[in-house]
Amino acid sequence: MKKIMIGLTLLLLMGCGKEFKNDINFTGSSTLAPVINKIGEELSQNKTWDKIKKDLPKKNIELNVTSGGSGLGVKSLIEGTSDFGMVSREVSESEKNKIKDYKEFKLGTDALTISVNPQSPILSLTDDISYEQLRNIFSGNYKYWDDLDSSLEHKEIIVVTRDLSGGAHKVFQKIVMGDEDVKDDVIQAPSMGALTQKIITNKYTIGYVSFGLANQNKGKVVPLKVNGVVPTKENIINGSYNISRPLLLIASGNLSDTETIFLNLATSNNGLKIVENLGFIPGK
Amino acid sequence: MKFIKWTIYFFTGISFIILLFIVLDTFMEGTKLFRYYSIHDFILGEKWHPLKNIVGILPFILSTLYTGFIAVLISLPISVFVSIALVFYVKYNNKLMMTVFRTMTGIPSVIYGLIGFAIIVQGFEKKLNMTSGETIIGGGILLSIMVIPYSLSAIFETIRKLDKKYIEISKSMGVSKEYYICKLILPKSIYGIISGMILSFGRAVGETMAVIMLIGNSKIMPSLFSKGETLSGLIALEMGSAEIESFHYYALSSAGFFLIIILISIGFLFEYFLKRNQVV
Repeated sequence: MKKIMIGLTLLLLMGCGKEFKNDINFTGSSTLAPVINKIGEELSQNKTWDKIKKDLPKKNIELNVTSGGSGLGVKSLIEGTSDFGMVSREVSESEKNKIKDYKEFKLGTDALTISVNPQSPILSLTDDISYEQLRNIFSGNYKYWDDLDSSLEHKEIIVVTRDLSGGAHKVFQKIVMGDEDVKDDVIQAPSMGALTQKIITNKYTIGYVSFGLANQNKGKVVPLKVNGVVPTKENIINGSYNISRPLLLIASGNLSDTETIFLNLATSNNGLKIVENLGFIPGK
Repeated sequence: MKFIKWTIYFFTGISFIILLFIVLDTFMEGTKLFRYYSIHDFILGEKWHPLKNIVGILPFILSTLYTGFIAVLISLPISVFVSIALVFYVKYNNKLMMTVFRTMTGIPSVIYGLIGFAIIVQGFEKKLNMTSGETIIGGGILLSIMVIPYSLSAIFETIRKLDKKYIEISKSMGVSKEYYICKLILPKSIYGIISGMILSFGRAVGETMAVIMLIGNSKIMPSLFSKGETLSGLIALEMGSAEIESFHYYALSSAGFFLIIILISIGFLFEYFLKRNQVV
């Protein structure tokens, strides 16, 4: 009995004192998650923290990435449940006020392409679409492809979105839809990857595939021109293609040594190359 | 030893307290919405626009019930027939088969979701010529596969015990195996079947990940071949972006609260049904 009590007390005491935190936790956007994972992979090749910076203890490098949407990324910082938030939209003023000592780091830019399947009816007609037509399609005014143009098939337009209260959709709603509501009948995909999959596997779909994923799936999804503007890196940077959103890492308070190391890698040339390889536009 | 007894009490107490907290918390968070929103509008409302302060969960309740019932409707007969087969017709390899079925519970729901998307959704699109294959019935079919192990265990145990109890008597009376099964075993196993039904319904209604991958998640009033969104799917998709203690957050908490109410109601309904028919 006495031995057990001593054992338990020692166990409790071990928790006290400043422990080195060898893991970094990321929560948020499902678009950014693969980027952080890849950067993390490169960092983890060093195996332990002391190999990167000599005065750090010899503990394993651990990076935990959780998807759940940009909103969750912001929320996790407000609640203090994550070290970094991954956000793929602008962070609002009210959200910034709720985070203690708010810090923001831009890793790159993503855009929302308007993509269709390579065998989509619309491609026999044009590869360009206007905001007006998009509003009609997404709001349900145009229900069938022949509502868009009478020469097309009489088949339902399958609209695929992300969840309507999430970051990606908020960007689309603000820039394209304005005050008009998206129809109730849309398919809400649980992640950007699932959205892309739906477009790839069904020829009557239309949806806002992220620029990065569209690049990764060249040939399987076809991004349309919007108001005559092609979604290219140049047009996104110069603003002529304006359905775009920032890729941000947000944090609260001062960064620890390990967090600074990660951030330095992410914003270094190697990190930017990873961002670019995944199809996004790196840097500020 | 007194120490072991004390430890058991201690951990039982902690488990009970945790369960109590979950129930209380769900109740308290789930009813906060109704201080300023009518329950009637919430349950019977057909529109869900939380950012405009209009929240009605009728479409989701219906989607949840439809998929749950379809799942049970399909999986229950399968469980009954498989149990009968295992106890009466395939006597050797009993344990191996049950292990195989139990392994089904270990498969992550995401895998079921991926398979469901590839086979059910695309199957509907190609074979039934549907423009998009996301349907309530598709969700129900996938769920039925996932919940078979839950009712199977309960029904299999029930039938096995009944067989042990009555096999000698029926052999001595010289009845045929089929007569024995239909007239004696099945009627007496109704309680086990009902338990299996409740277990599998509860599991089907709670399953989130697999369903949101193939049901479309559209906030419309569902029908058998339309898209839909379950209560669990609603919470999973929107909880991440709902600000804590906002209207949206409380609406989602209430949706979760009603999910639990549905589960408890079905359970009580069947208990009442059984008692009334004096089967217990």
